[in-house]
Amino acid sequence: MKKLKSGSRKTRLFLDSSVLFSAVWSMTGGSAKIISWAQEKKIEVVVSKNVVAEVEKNVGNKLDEIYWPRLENLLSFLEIDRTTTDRDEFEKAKEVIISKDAVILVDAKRCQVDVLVTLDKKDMLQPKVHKFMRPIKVMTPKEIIEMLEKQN
Amino acid sequence: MNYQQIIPVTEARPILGSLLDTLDSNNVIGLTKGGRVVGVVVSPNYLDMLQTNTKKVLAKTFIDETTRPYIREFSDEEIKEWLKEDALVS
Repeated sequence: MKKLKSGSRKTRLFLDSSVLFSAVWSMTGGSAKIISWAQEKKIEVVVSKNVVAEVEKNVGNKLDEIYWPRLENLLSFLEIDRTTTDRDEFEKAKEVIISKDAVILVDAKRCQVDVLVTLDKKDMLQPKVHKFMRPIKVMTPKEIIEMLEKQN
Repeated sequence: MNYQQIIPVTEARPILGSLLDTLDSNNVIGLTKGGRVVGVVVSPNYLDMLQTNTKKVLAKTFIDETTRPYIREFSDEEIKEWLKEDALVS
Protein backbone atom coordinates (compact mmCIF):
# COMPACT_ATOMS: atom_id res chain seq x y z
CA MET A 1 0.00 0.00 0.00
CA LYS A 2 1.19 3.50 -0.80
CA LYS A 3 1.60 6.16 1.86
CA LEU A 4 -1.75 7.64 2.77
CA LYS A 5 -1.30 11.30 2.10
CA SER A 6 -3.30 14.46 2.59
CA GLY A 7 -2.08 16.68 -0.25
CA SER A 8 1.71 16.34 -0.40
CA ARG A 9 2.16 15.07 3.15
CA LYS A 10 1.06 12.14 5.27
CA THR A 11 -2.36 12.34 6.86
CA ARG A 12 -2.04 13.25 10.55
CA LEU A 13 -4.60 11.85 12.99
CA PHE A 14 -5.33 12.44 16.67
CA LEU A 15 -6.81 9.48 18.57
CA ASP A 16 -9.07 10.06 21.55
CA SER A 17 -9.18 7.71 24.54
CA SER A 18 -12.00 5.58 23.14
CA VAL A 19 -9.93 4.71 20.06
CA LEU A 20 -6.67 3.97 21.88
CA PHE A 21 -8.51 1.87 24.49
CA SER A 22 -10.36 -0.09 21.79
CA ALA A 23 -7.08 -0.71 19.95
CA VAL A 24 -5.66 -2.20 23.14
CA TRP A 25 -8.73 -4.40 23.63
CA SER A 26 -9.26 -5.60 20.06
CA MET A 27 -6.53 -6.43 17.57
CA THR A 28 -8.99 -6.73 14.69
CA GLY A 29 -10.97 -3.49 14.97
CA GLY A 30 -10.63 -0.25 13.05
CA SER A 31 -8.71 1.43 15.86
CA ALA A 32 -5.98 -1.23 15.76
CA LYS A 33 -5.86 -0.97 11.96
CA ILE A 34 -5.19 2.77 12.18
CA ILE A 35 -2.28 2.17 14.54
CA SER A 36 -0.94 -0.56 12.25
CA TRP A 37 -0.81 2.08 9.49
CA ALA A 38 1.13 4.33 11.85
CA GLN A 39 3.53 1.44 12.52
CA GLU A 40 4.03 1.11 8.75
CA LYS A 41 4.59 4.91 8.61
CA LYS A 42 1.76 5.39 6.12
CA ILE A 43 0.12 7.97 8.36
CA GLU A 44 1.10 10.02 11.41
CA VAL A 45 -0.84 9.33 14.58
CA VAL A 46 -0.64 11.46 17.70
CA VAL A 47 -2.15 11.19 21.18
CA SER A 48 -1.85 13.60 24.09
CA LYS A 49 -0.64 12.77 27.58
CA ASN A 50 -4.24 13.20 28.77
CA VAL A 51 -5.32 10.41 26.43
CA VAL A 52 -2.49 8.15 27.58
CA ALA A 53 -3.20 8.85 31.27
CA GLU A 54 -6.91 8.05 30.81
CA VAL A 55 -6.25 4.87 28.86
CA GLU A 56 -3.61 3.73 31.36
CA LYS A 57 -6.11 4.21 34.17
CA ASN A 58 -8.79 2.19 32.38
CA VAL A 59 -6.52 -0.57 31.15
CA GLY A 60 -5.44 -0.93 34.78
CA ASN A 61 -9.01 -1.01 36.08
CA LYS A 62 -10.86 -2.83 33.31
CA LEU A 63 -8.47 -5.21 31.58
CA ASP A 64 -6.16 -8.08 32.55
CA GLU A 65 -2.44 -7.49 33.06
CA ILE A 66 -1.68 -9.08 29.71
CA TYR A 67 -2.99 -5.93 28.00
CA TRP A 68 -0.27 -3.70 29.52
CA PRO A 69 2.47 -4.83 27.11
CA ARG A 70 0.04 -4.34 24.24
CA LEU A 71 -0.62 -0.73 25.32
CA GLU A 72 3.14 -0.09 25.59
CA ASN A 73 3.68 -1.64 22.17
CA LEU A 74 0.95 0.46 20.53
CA LEU A 75 2.28 3.65 22.14
CA SER A 76 5.70 3.01 20.65
CA PHE A 77 4.23 3.69 17.19
CA LEU A 78 2.52 6.93 18.18
CA GLU A 79 3.69 10.47 18.77
CA ILE A 80 2.85 11.49 22.34
CA ASP A 81 2.27 15.20 22.79
CA ARG A 82 3.20 16.15 26.35
CA THR A 83 2.13 19.79 26.22
CA THR A 84 -0.01 20.98 29.13
CA THR A 85 -3.57 21.81 28.08
CA ASP A 86 -4.09 25.55 27.62
CA ARG A 87 -6.59 26.82 30.20
CA ASP A 88 -8.15 29.53 27.95
CA GLU A 89 -8.66 27.11 25.07
CA PHE A 90 -10.13 24.60 27.50
CA GLU A 91 -12.68 27.16 28.71
CA LYS A 92 -13.69 27.88 25.08
CA ALA A 93 -14.08 24.16 24.32
CA LYS A 94 -16.25 23.71 27.42
CA GLU A 95 -18.84 25.92 25.74
CA VAL A 96 -19.50 23.22 23.12
CA ILE A 97 -18.92 20.01 25.04
CA ILE A 98 -18.59 18.60 28.56
CA SER A 99 -15.26 19.04 30.38
CA LYS A 100 -13.95 15.50 29.89
CA ASP A 101 -14.21 15.85 26.12
CA ALA A 102 -13.22 19.54 26.02
CA VAL A 103 -9.70 18.44 26.99
CA ILE A 104 -9.54 16.19 23.93
CA LEU A 105 -10.75 18.92 21.55
CA VAL A 106 -8.08 21.33 22.81
CA ASP A 107 -5.35 18.69 22.57
CA ALA A 108 -6.34 17.71 19.02
CA LYS A 109 -6.37 21.35 17.88
CA ARG A 110 -2.96 21.99 19.39
CA CYS A 111 -1.47 18.95 17.64
CA GLN A 112 -2.44 20.39 14.23
CA VAL A 113 -3.95 17.18 12.90
CA ASP A 114 -6.18 16.62 9.90
CA VAL A 115 -8.65 14.40 11.71
CA LEU A 116 -9.75 13.75 15.29
CA VAL A 117 -10.67 10.06 15.47
CA THR A 118 -13.25 8.99 18.04
CA LEU A 119 -15.73 6.22 18.77
CA ASP A 120 -17.80 8.46 21.02
CA LYS A 121 -20.73 9.12 18.70
CA LYS A 122 -22.97 10.44 21.44
CA ASP A 123 -20.81 13.38 22.55
CA MET A 124 -18.08 13.96 19.97
CA LEU A 125 -19.77 13.38 16.63
CA GLN A 126 -22.11 16.33 16.96
CA PRO A 127 -22.58 19.34 14.62
CA LYS A 128 -21.41 21.85 17.26
CA VAL A 129 -18.19 19.86 17.75
CA HIS A 130 -17.59 19.67 13.98
CA LYS A 131 -18.05 23.44 13.79
CA PHE A 132 -15.70 24.10 16.72
CA MET A 133 -12.99 21.83 15.31
CA ARG A 134 -12.93 23.21 11.75
CA PRO A 135 -10.79 22.72 9.66
CA ILE A 136 -10.05 19.52 11.61
CA LYS A 137 -12.50 16.75 10.73
CA VAL A 138 -14.04 14.53 13.41
CA MET A 139 -14.54 10.93 12.27
CA THR A 140 -14.86 7.34 13.48
CA PRO A 141 -12.09 4.82 12.71
CA LYS A 142 -14.34 3.17 10.14
CA GLU A 143 -14.95 6.47 8.36
CA ILE A 144 -11.28 7.46 8.26
CA ILE A 145 -10.28 3.99 7.02
CA GLU A 146 -12.83 4.19 4.21
CA MET A 147 -11.71 7.71 3.31
CA LEU A 148 -8.01 6.88 3.25
CA GLU A 149 -8.49 3.64 1.33
CA LYS A 150 -10.55 5.52 -1.26
CA GLN A 151 -7.81 8.19 -1.57
CA ASN A 152 -5.26 5.47 -2.08
CA MET B 1 4.46 11.31 57.81
CA ASN B 2 7.15 12.34 60.28
CA TYR B 3 6.00 15.16 62.51
CA GLN B 4 8.30 17.46 64.43
CA GLN B 5 5.49 17.78 66.93
CA ILE B 6 1.84 16.78 67.23
CA ILE B 7 -0.40 19.08 69.27
CA PRO B 8 -4.17 19.51 69.74
CA VAL B 9 -5.64 22.52 67.93
CA THR B 10 -6.96 23.91 71.21
CA GLU B 11 -3.46 23.90 72.73
CA ALA B 12 -1.87 25.28 69.56
CA ARG B 13 -4.23 28.25 69.21
CA PRO B 14 -2.82 30.43 72.06
CA ILE B 15 0.83 29.56 71.29
CA LEU B 16 0.72 29.64 67.49
CA GLY B 17 3.31 32.45 67.28
CA SER B 18 5.87 30.59 69.32
CA LEU B 19 5.12 27.33 67.47
CA LEU B 20 5.95 29.04 64.19
CA ASP B 21 9.23 30.30 65.68
CA THR B 22 10.25 26.70 66.42
CA LEU B 23 9.30 25.41 62.96
CA ASP B 24 12.32 24.07 61.07
CA SER B 25 12.44 24.46 57.31
CA ASN B 26 12.01 20.72 56.70
CA ASN B 27 9.57 19.86 59.45
CA VAL B 28 5.86 19.51 59.95
CA ILE B 29 3.72 20.21 62.98
CA GLY B 30 0.55 18.14 63.16
CA LEU B 31 -2.63 19.63 64.60
CA THR B 32 -5.14 17.21 66.09
CA LYS B 33 -8.86 17.37 66.73
CA GLY B 34 -10.59 14.50 68.48
CA GLY B 35 -7.28 12.62 68.64
CA ARG B 36 -6.69 12.67 64.86
CA VAL B 37 -4.30 14.84 62.86
CA VAL B 38 -6.61 17.11 60.87
CA GLY B 39 -4.16 19.78 59.73
CA VAL B 40 -0.49 20.55 59.46
CA VAL B 41 1.75 23.60 59.75
CA VAL B 42 4.76 23.80 57.45
CA SER B 43 7.20 26.54 56.53
CA PRO B 44 6.77 28.29 53.15
CA ASN B 45 10.15 26.88 52.07
CA TYR B 46 9.06 23.33 52.85
CA LEU B 47 5.76 23.76 50.96
CA ASP B 48 7.62 25.23 48.00
CA MET B 49 10.02 22.29 47.99
CA LEU B 50 7.12 19.79 48.09
CA GLN B 51 5.31 21.50 45.21
CA THR B 52 8.47 21.73 43.10
CA ASN B 53 9.27 18.06 43.64
CA THR B 54 5.69 17.04 42.84
CA LYS B 55 5.88 18.92 39.54
CA LYS B 56 9.17 17.17 38.70
CA VAL B 57 7.66 13.74 39.39
CA LEU B 58 4.49 14.50 37.41
CA ALA B 59 6.57 15.73 34.47
CA LYS B 60 7.96 12.21 34.16
CA THR B 61 4.45 10.71 33.92
CA PHE B 62 1.53 11.29 31.57
CA ILE B 63 -0.46 12.99 34.31
CA ASP B 64 -1.35 16.63 33.72
CA GLU B 65 -2.14 18.46 36.95
CA THR B 66 -4.55 20.83 35.16
CA THR B 67 -6.65 18.13 33.55
CA ARG B 68 -6.33 15.33 36.11
CA PRO B 69 -9.91 15.91 37.39
CA TYR B 70 -11.21 15.05 33.92
CA ILE B 71 -9.46 11.69 33.70
CA ARG B 72 -12.34 9.32 34.29
CA GLU B 73 -13.26 5.66 34.42
CA PHE B 74 -15.06 4.30 31.37
CA SER B 75 -18.39 2.56 31.91
CA ASP B 76 -18.88 -1.02 30.70
CA GLU B 77 -21.75 0.21 28.57
CA GLU B 78 -19.71 2.77 26.64
CA ILE B 79 -16.87 0.30 26.11
CA LYS B 80 -19.40 -2.12 24.63
CA GLU B 81 -20.65 0.63 22.30
CA TRP B 82 -17.11 1.53 21.21
CA LEU B 83 -16.19 -2.07 20.42
CA LYS B 84 -19.37 -2.48 18.39
CA GLU B 85 -18.61 0.71 16.45
CA ASP B 86 -14.96 -0.31 16.03
CA ALA B 87 -15.71 -3.70 14.46
CA LEU B 88 -14.78 -3.71 10.79
CA VAL B 89 -16.93 -6.75 10.01
CA SER B 90 -20.44 -6.70 11.47
